[in-house]
Amino acid sequence: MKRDTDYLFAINKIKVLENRMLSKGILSRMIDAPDASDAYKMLQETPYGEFLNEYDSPYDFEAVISKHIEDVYRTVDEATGNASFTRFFRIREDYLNCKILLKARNFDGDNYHLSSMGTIPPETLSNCFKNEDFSELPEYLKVAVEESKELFSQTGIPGYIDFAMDRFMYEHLYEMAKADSFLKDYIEREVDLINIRSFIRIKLMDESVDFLKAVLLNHGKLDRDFFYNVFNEQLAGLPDRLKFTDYASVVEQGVKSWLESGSSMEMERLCDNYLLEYAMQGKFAAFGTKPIWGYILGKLNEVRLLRIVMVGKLNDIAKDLISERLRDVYV
Amino acid sequence: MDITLGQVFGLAAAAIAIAFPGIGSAIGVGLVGESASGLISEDPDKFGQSLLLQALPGTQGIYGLLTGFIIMSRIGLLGGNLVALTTWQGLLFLGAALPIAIVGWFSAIAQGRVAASGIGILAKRPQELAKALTYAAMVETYAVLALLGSVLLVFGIRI
Amino acid sequence: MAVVNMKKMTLVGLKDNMDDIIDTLHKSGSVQIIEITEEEDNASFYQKGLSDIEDRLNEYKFAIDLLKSFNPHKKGMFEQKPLINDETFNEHLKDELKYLDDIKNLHHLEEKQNELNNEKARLEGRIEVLTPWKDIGIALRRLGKGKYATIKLGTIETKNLPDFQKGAEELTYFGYEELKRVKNTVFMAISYLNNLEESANNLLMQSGFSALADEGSGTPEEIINSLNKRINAINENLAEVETNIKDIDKDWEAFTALYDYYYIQKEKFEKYDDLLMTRKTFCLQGWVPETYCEQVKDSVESTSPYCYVEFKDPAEEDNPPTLLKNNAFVTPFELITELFSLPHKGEIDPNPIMAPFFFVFFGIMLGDVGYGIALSVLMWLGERLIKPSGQGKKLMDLLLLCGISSAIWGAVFGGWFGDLFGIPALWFNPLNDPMTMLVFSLALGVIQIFTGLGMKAYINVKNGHVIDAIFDQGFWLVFLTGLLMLAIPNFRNIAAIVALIGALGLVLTQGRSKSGVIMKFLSGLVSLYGLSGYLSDVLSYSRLLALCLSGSVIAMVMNTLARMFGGGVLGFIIGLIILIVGHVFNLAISGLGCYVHSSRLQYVEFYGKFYEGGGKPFNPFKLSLKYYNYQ
Repeated sequence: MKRDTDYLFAINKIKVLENRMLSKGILSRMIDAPDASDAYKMLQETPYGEFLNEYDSPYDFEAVISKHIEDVYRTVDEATGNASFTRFFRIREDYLNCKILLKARNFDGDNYHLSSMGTIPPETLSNCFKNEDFSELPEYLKVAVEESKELFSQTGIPGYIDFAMDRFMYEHLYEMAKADSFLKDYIEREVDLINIRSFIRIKLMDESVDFLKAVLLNHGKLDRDFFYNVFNEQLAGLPDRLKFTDYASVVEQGVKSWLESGSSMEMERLCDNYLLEYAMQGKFAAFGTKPIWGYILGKLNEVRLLRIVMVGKLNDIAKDLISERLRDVYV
Repeated sequence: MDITLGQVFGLAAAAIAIAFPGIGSAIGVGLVGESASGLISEDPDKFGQSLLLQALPGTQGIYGLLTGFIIMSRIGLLGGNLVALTTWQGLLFLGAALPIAIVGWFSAIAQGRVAASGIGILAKRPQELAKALTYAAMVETYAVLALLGSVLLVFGIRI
Repeated sequence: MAVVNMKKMTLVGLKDNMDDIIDTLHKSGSVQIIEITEEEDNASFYQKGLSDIEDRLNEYKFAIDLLKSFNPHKKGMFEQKPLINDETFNEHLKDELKYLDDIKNLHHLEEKQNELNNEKARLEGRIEVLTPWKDIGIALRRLGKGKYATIKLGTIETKNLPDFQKGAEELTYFGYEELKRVKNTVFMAISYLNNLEESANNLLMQSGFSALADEGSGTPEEIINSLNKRINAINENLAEVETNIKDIDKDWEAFTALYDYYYIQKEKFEKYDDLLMTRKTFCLQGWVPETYCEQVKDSVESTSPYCYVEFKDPAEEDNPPTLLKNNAFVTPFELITELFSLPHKGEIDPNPIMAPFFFVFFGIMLGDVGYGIALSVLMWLGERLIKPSGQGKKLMDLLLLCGISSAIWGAVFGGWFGDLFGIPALWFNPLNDPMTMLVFSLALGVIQIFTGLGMKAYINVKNGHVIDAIFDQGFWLVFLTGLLMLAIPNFRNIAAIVALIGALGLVLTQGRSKSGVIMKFLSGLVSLYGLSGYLSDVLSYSRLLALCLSGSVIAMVMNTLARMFGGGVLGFIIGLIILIVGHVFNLAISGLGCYVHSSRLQYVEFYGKFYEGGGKPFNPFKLSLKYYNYQ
């Protein structure tokens, strides 16, 4: 029987670990630092610090991030005694890795970074793709990869790989999430926001409704018919249509900025913040699974922010530009 | 010496007064303990403070023991001369034990949950420990009232 | 005077002297610096310096941590941190280059240590693999793929053996020999002709054959011996590295002192962020308790003559921090309020009126002469040994006082380690007469609740709301007094009249903020429902009885248990052990309960009536060193 007191040990361990997460303060100090290596050094005092000796160049920050996330996953696995929490996120990485490999092969590129945070080691994955032999992959990945390839060879459009893989991935994630009401809700919201963005993109590209049909993901709170119905309306009217949903403010500000600037950057930021805010429920819960999901989601958000800052610093991007792209933090 | 049915009920009264709040306290203290070990695994300095929170849901067990003890002393079990209770007298004791037995059981679990959440407060804002303690003490009020009820009932029975 | 008046200090000085002035303030520890600029204009000024300081701190921290792993430098529990002053800092700073060299050395040594440990682990791994093969006298150089045939050593699990044997028979020119068995593992040597390689490998894979792979050339035993020799050599090297590291332990004092020095610098640099700066001057604002103003001014002016210091009363929009000052009896009880919430700006300090209640309630709940004296003596000794400061000291003082109170009430209620000595009560024993105790508890509750209402009335009058004081608190007091008097038989008639007047007053006035006569009357009537609140507040004080009883009953249980072992020396010893363990346990658990529940009565029942809180504590900019105390 599942009780909401099953993970008390893990929850309270996590509450302490949350105190050590990167604050807005340290991120903005990093942005203010004179150069990338000074910014990098500021991580010394944070949980990332323990890997800094091993990887002392700021260009190694990706390695530090994956080491740290591995650490986070291991801690969660050990504290909960249940690998299904991190498995949810590892499987997502598997799909993303496969997506990269599928596309890399099609473009003959070999300069790609695979995430080592999945369930399958990157070497195994790339070997499978090199040898065209997917028998070692788990059934779900095998099906997804082969069907995506099939679809690509039929249409010749690389973008279809993304659509197909995303569909398989979200089907799978939803399947894993549906037993947990918090996570199910989270995935549904994530799907909605992805669908809304795809919708806007397709409208801006003047594509057909058939294209939309191929792209929309299932399991959102907004059903497909909603999108078909508003497809023939002006894009500027979308915020009105969503006025009484949870996404009203995200869509209103996001669409406005998108239409004005022609860039989806602000919209992406708003969506990330929206999902983070949802995840933050975990911070205030003392029982159940919310605090654990919230912590992992918060950590992944933190890693995303760290990437924005480090990439910005390494490329000498102006401070305000980096700050502009920064999202909220979990703590 | 013949044992009367009343004496059996009297002993049962003491037994449930001790057993049920004890079960509740054990569960409650266990919940807090589990939470606290999570905290201590990362922040061992807070051991003393977390112990304060963990001890709180334990009082119901003590109240139960207290009631049981008073019942035992009323029916003469402690002195060695067990009073020959009538069946009805025995049932009266059983009834008198019910408030602390039931309320003690459930309030200890509820208090355990509040104190377990309090561990989260301790993790984030250790300076607010007093507030976490107060929240947990709010739950205890009902155990205190039940204890009061049971004690008055036990003393009110004529032998 | 319970809440200390705060003055707002404004200090303008030359930038050249800024470092010295801030240093002086830091060491005086009586100013809370206000952040007056949110812009990051100063960033360029201090970022570089701060980052250098942090580098140094990291270096010293590394050295200290490494040295600690060899010599923990543990201090006794009651030992004080050594003292340090500017002179010592300067002395160490003079030799800093030397110390930094030593740290560089430590880095090298640590690296070397890691390398050696890694190699050692690798060798030990090899030995572990080879050990089961130790008694097999085959030179490993003869294994592997030869010109015509291949020879391998390896293991398979017993459960796979039948399949393996069957498969082996099917292959011609495939030989195997079982060497020995350990538990479920079969050690064997196999050989096959090279042209069979593929099918042989298949068979080996299917049956889970794991081959011995080692780059050595002698027999396993010879290899193990030579590996052990190398491990011994590594151990010697390691020991040498360790002695070298330990040699640097002589710098321990300097490392910790310099760590603290840079820590001070870091805190100072971080404060630059809060100042306002021009090209040549800087401006600092801070809160200073009135009593320290002169002292601060003198010390700043003696540091730098070219500065301007001014003290002002807080303005309307200012929100000064709260500092309390009370007499020796009340001070420990400040802790209770600190843990709740400090008085906000302009609010009175509730401690002087709360302290006697807490004192009495704790005493009643613990109610035992033995426990009280034990608690007080423990706290008295503890203070002498640990020399706590801040809240720790307040807590110990508080418990010391509460111990005295417990001893007094213990005498009143006849508790001397429970019923251990059978000393009769001065007044009555709550265990024999719980009804009297209940009435007494509730009576105390009534007194405290009335006091709370009185305090609220006093605050209203003080703030000029006389009408509110009469209507909101006055009528309630009248109404409640009337109701209470009903309990006294001879006063029934007067009591009824008094209660009626109070009730009428409440009905007529409580709706005064509402519009319309009917609404006024209705909300007035509804306000009488507040009576249930007072009822539950009073009943809440029954916890005085509950905790008093539970403490003494547990004590009694322990005594009863101990007496069961009555006769003989052995019985006496066992009994004594039970008594000591039992009473210590009871003191701890009951003491905790008494503390929590006395606090709760103050927070919920008492403070709920008149006290708001929400003040920020006075948090001066002061030194906080890790290894030393600054003199």
